[in-house]
Amino acid sequence: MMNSNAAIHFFDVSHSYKGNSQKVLNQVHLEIEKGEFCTILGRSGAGKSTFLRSMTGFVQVEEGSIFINGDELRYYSSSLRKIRKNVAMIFQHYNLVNRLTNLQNVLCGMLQNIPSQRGILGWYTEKEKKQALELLDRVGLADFAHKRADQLSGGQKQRVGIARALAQDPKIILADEPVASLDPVTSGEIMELLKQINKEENITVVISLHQIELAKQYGERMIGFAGGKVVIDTTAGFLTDGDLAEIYDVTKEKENTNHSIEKQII
Amino acid sequence: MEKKSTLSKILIFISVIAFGVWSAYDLELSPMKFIAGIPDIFNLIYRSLPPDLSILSRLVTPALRTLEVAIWGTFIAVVFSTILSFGAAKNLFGSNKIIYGLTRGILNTLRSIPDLIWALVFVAAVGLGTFPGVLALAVYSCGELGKLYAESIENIDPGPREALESTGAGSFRVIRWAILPQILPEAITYTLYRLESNVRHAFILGLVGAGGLGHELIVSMRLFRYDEALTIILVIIITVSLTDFVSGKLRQKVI
Repeated sequence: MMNSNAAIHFFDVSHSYKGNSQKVLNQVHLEIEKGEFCTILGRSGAGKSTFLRSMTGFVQVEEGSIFINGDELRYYSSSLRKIRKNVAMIFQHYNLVNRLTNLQNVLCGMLQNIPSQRGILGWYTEKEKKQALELLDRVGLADFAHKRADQLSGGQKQRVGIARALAQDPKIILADEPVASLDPVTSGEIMELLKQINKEENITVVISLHQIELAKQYGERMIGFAGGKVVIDTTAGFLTDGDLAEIYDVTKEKENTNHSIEKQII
Repeated sequence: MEKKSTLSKILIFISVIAFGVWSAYDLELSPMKFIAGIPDIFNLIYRSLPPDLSILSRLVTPALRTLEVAIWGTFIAVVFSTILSFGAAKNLFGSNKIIYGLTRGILNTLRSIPDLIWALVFVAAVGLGTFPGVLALAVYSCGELGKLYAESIENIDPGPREALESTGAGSFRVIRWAILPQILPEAITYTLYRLESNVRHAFILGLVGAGGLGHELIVSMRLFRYDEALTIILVIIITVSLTDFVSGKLRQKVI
């Protein structure tokens, strides 16, 4: 039975990449409620990115079903577009178009909501431009609106990335290691900004992180992945060293790999 | 083992030398023949001096026509090669074997046949004049530019494309805002190089009936009016240099 308040729902989702029998998502079954601020922890290759990318259809999962705001994710363009309109992504490497201005980059977040011809020609209304400027102002970069994206620092680029995500008017924000390329101070600022957005706009935020301290500081719910499985699902205050060992235990990882190799041999 | 590799190196070396000697003999390469021909070259230069500058006014129109042929040929090529290049880019249509294979095949065919051959084909099809020249340059350049544009698309940073796709934006909007801005500087550079090259080729095409200054040159040569021919060659040099200069300035601005 699906919870009507669920923003994201994974029903026994499994996936492995071509040419690799090891599952990157293994029977993932979880629910994230609307307005939650979730951090995803795990070692490299644990399945964090695949988990996030599967929600926008960039990874077409082999087994199970994914529901976003009650709609089942199906892999044909109209369904994908419908889902993607409500799900914004923030990337580790920002993924801005460097030759465009920061304002244009933010406006790109609105492309799916305006008529095709206007979108291709870049004809935005005054209201849309004003909205994009306000979003840049919100992330503290109004003065950089007409500068090119490649003139910004990493932290500033990530802020533009967040403004672009907000321009989409999303119900969910997925951030794939958004602070992995940033220094500790800037990382804290970006996390603070995302938390603020989550609280003020009631947008569901799911962030994959490598920094445990940041996850503990900002995360409310923490989901730990290991070998494609959800091994920990707890609230931040209850995260124990044992939980972390469960997520990051090297021996266990090795055992999993060996087990999978054994299975392959059989 | 080492002896074997030294022996094979010696064999390869001897083979290359033997092929070189044989092909020089086959092509009748003869330094003596060239030396014997030097007085004739000087004789030709002597007979072309002084250049007949009185024909300069007559050359303005053909010179302009040659430039027009190059510009139109390049313009038509840009339009069609842009369309084809998206189909021929592996990161966009690599999974669609029909579109990818077809567009790659078309581009490879177009550029594997030299523009001079295309000119002969189009002269036979639409008659003498500048039009077959435009077509020849357009068709060949389409193959060249299409391949270069496709390679530029393949080399883009996939991040911005993924970012825009993740918003739910349609393909054309993604191409316009995530792909075009990334390839534009390279594409403009390639196009300007092609234009420079097309100006030079437009003269050559004139020799096979595609009008312009090339046509004037071949007529003067056939009438043994070497003084006129020299003037035409000087005009060609000036036109090519001017085009290279303007194109170079434009390229600097873009980069």
